[in-house]
Amino acid sequence: MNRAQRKAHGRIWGILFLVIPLFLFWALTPVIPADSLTPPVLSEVEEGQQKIPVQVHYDSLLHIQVHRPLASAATGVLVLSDQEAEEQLIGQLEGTGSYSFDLDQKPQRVRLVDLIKENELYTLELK
Amino acid sequence: MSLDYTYIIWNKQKKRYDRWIALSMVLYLLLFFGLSFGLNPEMTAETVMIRAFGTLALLTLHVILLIGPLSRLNSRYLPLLYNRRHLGVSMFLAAFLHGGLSLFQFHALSEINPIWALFTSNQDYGSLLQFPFQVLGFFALIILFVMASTSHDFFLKNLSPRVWKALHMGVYLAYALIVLHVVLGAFQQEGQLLTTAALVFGFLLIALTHVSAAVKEGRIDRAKSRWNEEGWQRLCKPEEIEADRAKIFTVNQERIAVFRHDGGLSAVHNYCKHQGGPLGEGKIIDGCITCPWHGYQYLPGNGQSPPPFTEKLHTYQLKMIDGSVYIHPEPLAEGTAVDPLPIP
Repeated sequence: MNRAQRKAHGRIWGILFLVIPLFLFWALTPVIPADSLTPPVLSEVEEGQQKIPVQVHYDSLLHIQVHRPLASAATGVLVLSDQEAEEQLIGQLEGTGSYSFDLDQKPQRVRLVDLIKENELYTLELK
Repeated sequence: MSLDYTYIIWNKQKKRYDRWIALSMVLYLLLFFGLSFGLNPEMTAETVMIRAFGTLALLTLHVILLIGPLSRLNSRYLPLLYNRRHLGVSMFLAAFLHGGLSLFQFHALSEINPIWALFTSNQDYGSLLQFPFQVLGFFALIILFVMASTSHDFFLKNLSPRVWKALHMGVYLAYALIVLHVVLGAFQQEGQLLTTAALVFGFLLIALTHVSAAVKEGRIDRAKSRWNEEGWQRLCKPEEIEADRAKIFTVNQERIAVFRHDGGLSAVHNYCKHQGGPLGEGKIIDGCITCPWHGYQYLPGNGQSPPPFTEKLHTYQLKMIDGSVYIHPEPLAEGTAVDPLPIP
């Protein structure tokens, strides 16, 4: 490489050596969004003997992160808000992954229920 | 070197190298399939294929990024550098299969255009952790495609080595995008710490080898120089340079290679006109300076490629003062003949 290319390489790697560790550090550390009204809650959904880690938080969207497959074939997400007298079914969880639900305001309570067996899997009160 | 363009100038070494690439990739895929289905029999074949080709591309990219600094640290790795482009194209093919299968699996089964769906299915662009990671992979794949499709010497010649090199430095941006793609994907899909840990290890390995190579290179640049009153820079004693080999020096912030051949010394710019290879790490073969990267050749006496080739290097004047070799720091015009400095 000539001088200009050596300089360009040095600069590019300098930036990568700064940016990638920062990003990896940030990705490995649980991050709470600045505008979050409720910090992420790591809970465990009881499914018989099995416990499934679930992460829930609200930041204008209700985020639910399911880390391992749920045994329930049809898991409904029910929320109760200040404005509603009754719980509303806002969607279903179909497996592992990240789910986001657009809600006008922060819900008071989030419940995950097995819609077929009609039993409760998980309840989170959001203060 | 070749005067006309053929798809690949095959030789025994290239064939052997490509067989190793193909064999290693097939073995990796078989191992991945076996382990995936063995550990998790419920996984679908599509998911395993997407992950197998994705991880294969990622692993190959790490090897590619390691080859450069490793060959600067140890000349035993130079044969890998010689054939790095084949590995790059193979890596692109694995990444393309990963991207194509993902696009089909996740976005092609609706009425929406799959590319449009890729950009719109997750619109959390304002979120850090929920950022649509597939978009990052898509842009990385575009960069890899541009690089793979312009990897041939035809483009190197017609785009000019400077533009071609700048274009191919896009691999660093692709690497950054792929790191983000993989970490966010792993986090959003299953929160897999193992994937992120493997990436951290890979990054540390790349960082360590690059820093080591930079330190080694820096020694050449930081070497103390001595000038005489007429502006000639002292280099070394002639016996410090092996026969048919060179020693590299930094003169006016540029690298110069001083070759010892046929009982004399000749100095040329250390920058191969083909891909910028370090000529001083090569040797004299058949009376020509031969680049260690791809075998481009130059005559040491005038820096010109032997006819009918037309590449030319800057040459430098040398002289002997009190048993030491001195160089005039101003380069002569490319291809200027300079009589070798006789070694007493």
